[in-house]
Order: sequence, then C-alpha cells, then structure tokens
Amino acid sequence: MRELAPELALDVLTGYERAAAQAHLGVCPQCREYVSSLTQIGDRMLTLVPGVEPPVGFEDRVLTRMGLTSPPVHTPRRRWWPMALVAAAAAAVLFGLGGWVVGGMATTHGTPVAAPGNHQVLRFAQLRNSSQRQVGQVFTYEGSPAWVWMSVTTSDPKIGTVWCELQKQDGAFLPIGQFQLTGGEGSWGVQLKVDPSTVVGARLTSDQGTVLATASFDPVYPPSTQGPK
Amino acid sequence: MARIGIPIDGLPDETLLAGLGTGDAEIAVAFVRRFQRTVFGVAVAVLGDQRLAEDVAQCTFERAWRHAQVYDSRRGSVRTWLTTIAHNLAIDVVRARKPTPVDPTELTDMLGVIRETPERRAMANEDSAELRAELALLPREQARAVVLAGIYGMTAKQIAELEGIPLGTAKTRIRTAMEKLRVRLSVKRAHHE
Repeated sequence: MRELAPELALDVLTGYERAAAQAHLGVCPQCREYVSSLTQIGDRMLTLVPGVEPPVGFEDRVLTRMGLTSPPVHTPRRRWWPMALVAAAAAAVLFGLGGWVVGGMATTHGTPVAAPGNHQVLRFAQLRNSSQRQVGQVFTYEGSPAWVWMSVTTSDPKIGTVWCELQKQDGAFLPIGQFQLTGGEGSWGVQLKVDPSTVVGARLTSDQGTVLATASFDPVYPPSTQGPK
Repeated sequence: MARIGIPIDGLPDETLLAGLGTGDAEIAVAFVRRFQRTVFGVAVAVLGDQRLAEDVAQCTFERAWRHAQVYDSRRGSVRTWLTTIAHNLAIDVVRARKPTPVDPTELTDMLGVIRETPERRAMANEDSAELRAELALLPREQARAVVLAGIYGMTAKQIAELEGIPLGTAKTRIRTAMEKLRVRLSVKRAHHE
C-alpha cells in the first residue's frame, strides 16, 4: 500500500490499482491516515500555482450561472456585516463543525436577492442551561432567505433529540424543528418563515419537554445606531 | 445588539463562503472576486486554454455555491477547497481531451514558478513558502515528477513516456518525492507545535 499511496493521494492511479488501494483503505485506518497526510500535500501544492486574472466579465457570467444578478453599483458602496457573522464562522471552527451553512439554502436556484440598502443582520445569543452555563450559541440571519443556526455542546452525552423553539415578542414559543445531538454535541439550521427581527429568544427542550437551554437576543436597534450608550 | 460591523470584503473566507450559501448577490461577487485569480490560475495552468479554463473556473464557483454547506474547515482552507475543485474539474477535462496533458516548456516554466526564489518566498504566505522551499530541496527529477502528477494530473505511465524513463522509475520518483515532503513538513509542524 505504501507504494501506491502517493499516486492514490494525487489521484493518478488507474483502474485496477485504484480499486485495490481503496479496498485496502476501507479496512486499514493506518493507511487511511497515511494517504490523508499525502493528500494534504497534493492539495497544498495547488496553492503554489500562480494566480491569473480571468477575462473581463467573468464574475457576471459566474453570477448568471448561479441564477443571480449582479448587484447595482453605488459609489461609494460598502456593505457592512455585523461582527456576529464573523463570530459565527469562528464558532463553527471552534466547535469543529463542517458545513455550518444551513443545508438546503445553498442549493436554491433563483433565491431572491436582498434589495440594495437592506440592513441584513445576523444576531447572536448564547444558549445557557438552568445553571447559566453556556451550552451553545444561536444565530438568526435577517436576509433573504432568513435563517436560524445553532450549535450545542452539552456535558451530557445521553441527550439525543432536542427540539428548538423561538420566542416571539408576545412571549409565545414557536416550534421550528428538531435535531440530534451526538455525544452531547450537534449543530443545526433551518430557513425561517417568521421575521427574525420579531424573535426575542430561543429554547431547546428534550423529547420529554424538559427545557435544556434558553437564549435571549438583544433588541434590534435602528441601523444608524451602534446600540445603547 | 450593536450593529458594529466589518466591510463585506473584509470578512474571513469561511464567513464569505457561508454567506455565498444564502444566495446574496453581493456576497457572491465578493467571493468570486476574492478567489477568481486563484481558481482561474489553476484551471489555465492545467488546461493551457483560456476558454476551457473559464468554463472550468465558472463551474468551480457554481459547485462551491451549491455545496457551500459541505465545506469542512477541518480539512483545509476555503482556498485549498476551491483549488481542489478547480483542479479535479480541469483534470477531468484534460483526460478526456488529450493523451499528453502538458507541454514540456510549460512544465519548465511551472517548475520555475513554484520552486523557491527569495522574492517569491517573501511574497508567499508562510504555509505556501514552507512547501515551496521543500519542493526546491528535492532533486529536480523528483520535483518534475511530483509536479507532473500533482498539478498536471499525469499518471506514472504518462510521466515515464514524457521523460523517457521506465515506469518503475517514474513511480519511484513520485513516491520518494511525496514521502520526503510528508516527512519534512511533518517535522516542521511538530517543531512549530
């Protein structure tokens, strides 16, 4: 296997050799790890290839292919994104979560594009258990589509299915779905059918209805302000 | 919540990729602008044809958009993920198109570009510089073999034919080069940690 591993990692093995190598990898974790380390070298090698500017109009053609239209140009025009969005990515990395974008949204063709000037806000709140210990985070995104995403890390590996409810301004709780924790950890997201700006909190409950954690979002301030002094 | 923010073009790569999945055109533009040189560079290096390279580069961004949710930061950076997509697509095209995917002159140019020079080392990020330096330490024939396989997607048999060497020698060159890179880079990583 050691002889074939470099070519397998670089994806240049042919037919029979590749099949034999992959069959072996299926039953040998050591070789899998070895090939993985070689694959990383192959991937990094590609980053050494010099960049080349594509032909004029490239980005428009890419957007067309995605079913999007180029945003109108305003000068000067810089959209600003809340630090919470940065925190979301950081949290995803921190929790070791792959694919933290809500599944299903990424593949939606012709998704409505937010009107220029919309202040799309991603809000963030900590999920805390009854002892006020942080057990996760919740993010809501006010763009189009709107979505909610959360990550949970508890110390109880026995917790399986958890139910998520959002709290609206009138105090009512709105069930939005369920997801599975594995070893006490998990993450989940879904598109929202309610206006995220009307959401003031969230809670997670167990199968039996026990409240496992709650979160409270800070109020939404007008775009021109930076929050309370 | 305070709306303290950062400009969209200042967002980290992972965040921009996440935003790409929301279908927001402005984020998509920012994402494409950030990575288009890299993606197109890989495509054109492998294909040697601007038109085909643009098709591959467009397809790469489309795939990134469709599959943003499966990106796993533990397996590498967004840039590496994108270049791998572009590379796989380009190799598929090249294998369907011509038996010998690389002009020897192009290979010499590529070797010159990706191996270390003081200027390039200063310009490159630390991660790239490390690999670039290790590639430069390899005997030239091993570096050629690993670049032919790793960048141009050539099999050992194709390398053997191109270089006029026995198949076993081509395989040995690839294997020896990769093993040296693996060991040296692992040692450096362990040293840093």
